[in-house]
Amino acid sequence: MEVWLQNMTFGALVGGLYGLAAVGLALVFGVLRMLNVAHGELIMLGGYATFWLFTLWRTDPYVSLLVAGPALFAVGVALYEGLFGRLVHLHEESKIQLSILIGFGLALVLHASAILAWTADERGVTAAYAGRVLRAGALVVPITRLGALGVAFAVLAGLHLYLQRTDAGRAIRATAEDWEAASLMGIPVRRVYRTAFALGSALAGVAGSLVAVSDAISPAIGLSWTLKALIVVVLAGLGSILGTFVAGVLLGVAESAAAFALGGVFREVVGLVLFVTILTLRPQGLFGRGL
Amino acid sequence: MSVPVLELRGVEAAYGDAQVLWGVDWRVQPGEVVAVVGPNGAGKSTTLRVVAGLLRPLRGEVWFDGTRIDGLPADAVVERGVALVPEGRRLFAHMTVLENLLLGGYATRARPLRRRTLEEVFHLFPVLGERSGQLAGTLSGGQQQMLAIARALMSRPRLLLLDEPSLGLAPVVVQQVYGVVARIAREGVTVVAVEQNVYPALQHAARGYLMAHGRVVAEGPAETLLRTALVQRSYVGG
Amino acid sequence: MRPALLVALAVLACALPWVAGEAVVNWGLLVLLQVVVAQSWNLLAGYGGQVNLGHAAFFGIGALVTRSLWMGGVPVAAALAAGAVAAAVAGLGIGLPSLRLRGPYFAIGTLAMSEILRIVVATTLPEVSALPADLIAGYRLLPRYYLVLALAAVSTGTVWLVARSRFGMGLVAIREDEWVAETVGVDSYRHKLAALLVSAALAGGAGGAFGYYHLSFYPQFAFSPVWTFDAVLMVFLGGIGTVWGPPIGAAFFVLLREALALRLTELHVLVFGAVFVVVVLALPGGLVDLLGVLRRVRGSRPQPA
Repeated sequence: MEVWLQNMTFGALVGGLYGLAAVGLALVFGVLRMLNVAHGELIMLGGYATFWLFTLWRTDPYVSLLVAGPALFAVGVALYEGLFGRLVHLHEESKIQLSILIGFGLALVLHASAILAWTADERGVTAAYAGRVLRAGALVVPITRLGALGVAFAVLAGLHLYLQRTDAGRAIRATAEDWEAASLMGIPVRRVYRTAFALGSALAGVAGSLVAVSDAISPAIGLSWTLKALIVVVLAGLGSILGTFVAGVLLGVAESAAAFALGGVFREVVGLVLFVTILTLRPQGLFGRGL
Repeated sequence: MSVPVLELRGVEAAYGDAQVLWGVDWRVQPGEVVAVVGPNGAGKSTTLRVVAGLLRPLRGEVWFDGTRIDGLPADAVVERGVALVPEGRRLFAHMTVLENLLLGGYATRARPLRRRTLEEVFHLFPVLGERSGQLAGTLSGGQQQMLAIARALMSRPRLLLLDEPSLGLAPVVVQQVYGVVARIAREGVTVVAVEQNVYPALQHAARGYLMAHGRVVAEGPAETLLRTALVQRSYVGG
Repeated sequence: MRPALLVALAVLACALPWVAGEAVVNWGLLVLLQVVVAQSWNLLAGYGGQVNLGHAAFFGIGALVTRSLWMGGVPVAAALAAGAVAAAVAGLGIGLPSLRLRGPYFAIGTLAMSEILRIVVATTLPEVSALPADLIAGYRLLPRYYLVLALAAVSTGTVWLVARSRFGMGLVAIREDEWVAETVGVDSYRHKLAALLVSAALAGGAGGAFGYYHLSFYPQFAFSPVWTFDAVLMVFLGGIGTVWGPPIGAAFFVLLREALALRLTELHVLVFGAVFVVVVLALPGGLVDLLGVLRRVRGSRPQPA
């Protein structure tokens, strides 16, 4: 029983990062109707930013979030201006299709560049407090993972407030719902697209920092993180940020449960099976409306 | 004669390869209420889309208040003081009435005055004040049309464009909508209303245009045009 | 393509082992293998508009089945046929549910399914599949080269036939607009399924040839998404929805990869990723359309007054 609880707790802690990764992907998809399959590679870049800040200057990984986020925001702006922004005039279906293809090419480029620049080795950030744990009865919780979950939750709460309470956030939601009507409100739709894409990238950057501190990074982690994010988005729909976060935690728990009950390999399979099942049961309404 | 608020000179436009406007000329004076009528496919809505900046014309010029606005994106046109209430209202259904109105006042020109404008709008449409927390998608058809107009007014336009405001509404609600339009016009806002349904539009307008097949086929005082439209209808079948 | 050029190419391909050294024949084999992979993907994506990101599953199943049977003593031709059939059956299993999905959902759905398969294979068959000594002793490159050449000819011929058939017209109608295709009487689900089965069988054949060709490999490698990604790259590079684009893309892809891999293994991925993005954005017709684009650019240049 205690081993179960321990496993589920670990799953939930990892799941918070899935939620964070998924919200970035969902934000871009909901607003621009583009599926950036290089989202996982952006997470990888965020992870390396944190890794190098720590290795070169001993920057605390939770402080380096403040660098990785804005840095990936800038990367997002550049990617939008150089690549994805060229698709905005297309019809929805071809826009999604082409964005997948561009994301795919981008993923290859980022993956290969990361290997060339930093080798294919696995890296992690081991802060001074890395070994510390919190105990609750028999339950052991590593402090870095708890911190990652807390930061993920805080970032998403901040994003929620931004989208709900500010003019810029409302403009993003309005654009997601009906870009043409939004432009009739005086909202510069293309600038909103760019902001949303950059915000999605920044969220990937923050997620990457947290992955580097609580887990490990390598140039190859991109695809699996993109898949995790996709699974969570499919589970949660595009309805709400909180829903996505909860779905992420649930996926983490389900993975742990599957690994514990059936064997380690099922950790990776369970999410994919859930994903395929939901896809086939709801072929049209995959991503719910609104934001 | 004063400078027209809105002037279209030989506007031509197309969707893809299909040209739908062939040299449309409009002249709208300050404070006028102008109705544009004609059968389905006449190009009325397309002309409004061109004015609002949603569609770039192939040829021709659009002048607003003495400056050229054709080719400007929609958000820049709003900043100049033109607001379009689109066909089908296009409210943000998943957002509240208040959020819709706040978005209506997003334009930099209108934002500093947003609180005041909101009070004015609630004064004009008391029902929106009562339901400000409700999701826009849950309002009745008439209330949705009111919200769409109110949202457009939030940008403090000097020219209000209405695309099929009476579409799908009960006759008594149509009268309410045009009652509000008349009040808006009295405040000094110029109004251009496009309608397939000739009666309500020409009843409440002083002057109008009759369009067919992407061209203006007649213009004049509302009463004259009403007769022409009725005769035309027997030919064109609109 | 002009008949004379086609004949010349065919003669060159058949004569290659007699005029060139082993290394060149090996390169030729790799190019031809990728021609099969590319054409099989092109059939469904280029004509039917369905971007299948789980293509590696069919390649992997073909490799697994063919290699097991062949190593068990079945003649290679029969083993390869069985591999192709097994891949087509898998195509049925994957296609029946996933072809109800539209556009991008089909793409990510198939990717997920092939990943499931890969992980299952990686777990159940973790050992390297190596040829026993007697098979290695009898190993010759020549029959493998001609087998792959035949497969490349068959797959290109299949695409050529489909492109000219009523069936192919139906597929193209679905690609352009599925709703419109349905309203003019094209049964889109059946068309897509048929195309997927043929595509899967061809990919299974390619996998089978791969299993016959390699001395040793991890079974999961044949299921790696890399095979899908290579197909996507080659087809877009050469020209999607054309008969001759994918072979051009495959040749370009393999030869450049071999040239670049001499320096740095990752460099070719970087180069291809970048080229791919440029092709998607700026040259949707692919290399096969490059001449056409140049001609159009020249033609549309305004005349000096």
